[in-house]
Amino acid sequence: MVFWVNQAIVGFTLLIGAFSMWRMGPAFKRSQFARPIAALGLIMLLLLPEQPLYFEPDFHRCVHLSFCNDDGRESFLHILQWTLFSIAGAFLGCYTIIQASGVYSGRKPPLLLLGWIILGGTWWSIFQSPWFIEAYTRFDVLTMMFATLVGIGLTVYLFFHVIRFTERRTPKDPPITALDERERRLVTEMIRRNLGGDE
Amino acid sequence: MFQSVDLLSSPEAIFVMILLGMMFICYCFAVHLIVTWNPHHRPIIPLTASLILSIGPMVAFSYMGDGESSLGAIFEWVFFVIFVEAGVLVLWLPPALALVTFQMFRVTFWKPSEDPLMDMIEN
Repeated sequence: MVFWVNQAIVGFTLLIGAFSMWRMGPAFKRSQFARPIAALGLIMLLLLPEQPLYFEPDFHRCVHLSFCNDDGRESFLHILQWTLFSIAGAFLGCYTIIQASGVYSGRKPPLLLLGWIILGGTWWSIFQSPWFIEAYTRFDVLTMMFATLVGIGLTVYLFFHVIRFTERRTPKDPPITALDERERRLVTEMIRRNLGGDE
Repeated sequence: MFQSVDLLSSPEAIFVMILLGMMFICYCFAVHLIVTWNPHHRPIIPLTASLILSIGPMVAFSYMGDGESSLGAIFEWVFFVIFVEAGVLVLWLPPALALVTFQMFRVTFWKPSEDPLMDMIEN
């Protein structure tokens, strides 16, 4: 039996993996599997299984696991759906504004207005949310938010040194010898032909 | 899991959140290194470091309370770390969106230069 907690972990991990594959393909070749994996991760996050019923084998085990019941699942889904809606709205609004603003092509005022309406809708949904008002008026939550940033900063600093250490241990290529006369003539000829020096 | 909720309400909550932030980023970094594995990378040392820093504390935390651990308890900790940190990062959404909105204002009123090359040299 897959409890919803386990499925949520797998779904989130697939989303991170899909984002990494999408942005960091070897030799700048984007992976073609990123989008299906991201879709699978999103589906796994949104379609969580329900708590086992009393006649199902894992019911008693689920009673002892604190994150197995339907109340936690409902709260989790509520926050997740709101977050996805807000982030998607912000992304879509910004994308529309950039496309319509004349940075890449001609200015399109109706599309620009639509982008600002979408972005305004995102701000409206944020102001309607009770979580942000509660979070920004509580000192302990604000402290936790800054503590998280400190933790992230420390990790980035640590990995900066880990990666630098790894790169220092990477064996260097031996220095190449200078071109001989034949190679030099060949390179000169190639450059001359490509630049059209004889015309 | 009740022990983990207690941790966030204790005076040591700041250090716990710093540790959770580190564990969260290490977890994401480990996933990133695994899925982008290719012959041109040398990810063994960073991957080992990120796995130790993410999975290690989760296993250690799962022994809290009665001194016994199980796979279910470890999964609860993984869930707790990922989604508490993701939730805290979502709380940063309004300031981040305010910065983005400011940039969108600039983009909206931006006009292309008559001579982009000269503009680039002057700036």
